[in-house]
Amino acid sequence: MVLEQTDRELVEACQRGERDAFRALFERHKDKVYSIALRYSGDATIAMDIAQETFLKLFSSIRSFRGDSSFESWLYRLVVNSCLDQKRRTRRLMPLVDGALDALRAPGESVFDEIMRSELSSRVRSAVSGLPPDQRIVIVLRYTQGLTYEEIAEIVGCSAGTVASRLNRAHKSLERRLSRLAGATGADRA
Amino acid sequence: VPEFRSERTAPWLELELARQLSPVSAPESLWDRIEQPRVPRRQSRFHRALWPVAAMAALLVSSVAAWRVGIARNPAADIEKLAGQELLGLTGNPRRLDFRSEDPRQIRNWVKANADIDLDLPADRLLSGSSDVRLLGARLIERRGTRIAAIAYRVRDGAAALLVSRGRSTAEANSATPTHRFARLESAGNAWLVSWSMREQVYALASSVANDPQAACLLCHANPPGQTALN
Repeated sequence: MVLEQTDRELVEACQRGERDAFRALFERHKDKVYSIALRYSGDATIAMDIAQETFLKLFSSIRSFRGDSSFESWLYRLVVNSCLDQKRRTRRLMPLVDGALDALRAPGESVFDEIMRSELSSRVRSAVSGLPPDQRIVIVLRYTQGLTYEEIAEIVGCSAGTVASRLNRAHKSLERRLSRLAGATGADRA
Repeated sequence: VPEFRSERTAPWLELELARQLSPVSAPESLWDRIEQPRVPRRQSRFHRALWPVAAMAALLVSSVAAWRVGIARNPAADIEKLAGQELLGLTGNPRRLDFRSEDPRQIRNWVKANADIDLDLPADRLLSGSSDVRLLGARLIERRGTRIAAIAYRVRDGAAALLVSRGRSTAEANSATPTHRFARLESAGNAWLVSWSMREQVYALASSVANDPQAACLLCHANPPGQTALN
């Protein structure tokens, strides 16, 4: 709660036009905003655009923030809206040598393992990028920020049940697309 | 994450998503982008087929034509939009000023030398010590080949930015008693925007003084001019 109070103090300072408060607010929340933007878009350039847009919206409308909801929820809503406003759907169509995935199971090939691990990352992120926006954003909020269903629901503007449903559909879709990676990750062998 | 387990999400998928979607640090350059807002550049990926390129080209040509017609009709449009951004930028960070001075004569000289714009500010009144206005400095903006001078100042409990460029908006606005048009700028925190044209120069002024739309006019007027339009 101390953090929330400090956020509020910073917001009030921004509303009074205190310049250092803008920078302080930015420093506190920049990683959060950029992470959501990057994980949603899958593209560093687009993520920078989204983060820039989010902070410009934040600073331009900060005088209208009345504290009815928490500052963090408000900020999340801004970045989520910026993400959803992105016209271009990013699809990272990385080429994949299908048969090569089997090699992940072979021990002792560290360099090759590293290459395939990179390929694996691309596949997972590509699969996430291929989700419909409403499912992708709940996945990102859940896994990048670790938010609860209720918190996501407040940010996205729907019920917790809808969040659960979207997550469920997203999981099923990802599981279908990535099922061949199940063995490669090693997670199922633990 | 018990909620996921109740939906029988595969553990390997949970693990991989948590790993691949973990938080990252924002690049240091992000703040610079916020200080100096620019239109995001996006690379086109329409090269998979030719027709979208042709459509884009046609759209671009027509947009440029429409834009040129629009600018010819109202060159003040750009500067009005910029005024709000400038106010926001100055409020967020005063270091973006190219030239800092509280002296209106120094600012006038700097603006003349760098933008070839004559900005006659009432030096005696502003330096008298009794003025509500305190100048901060100036900045030069290049916009589509046009130089715009931005003057930053504080007035009463707020900030203001005056933007000036060479140009003509309408014949009526270039009269001896120019019409000052007042509006609200929602995009800049509901700031006040005043714009007018006078002696072949276009002016736009954005102010964060919430309750007094004419407060920022004190930069040039001991008694602010009557407003002719207010929305």
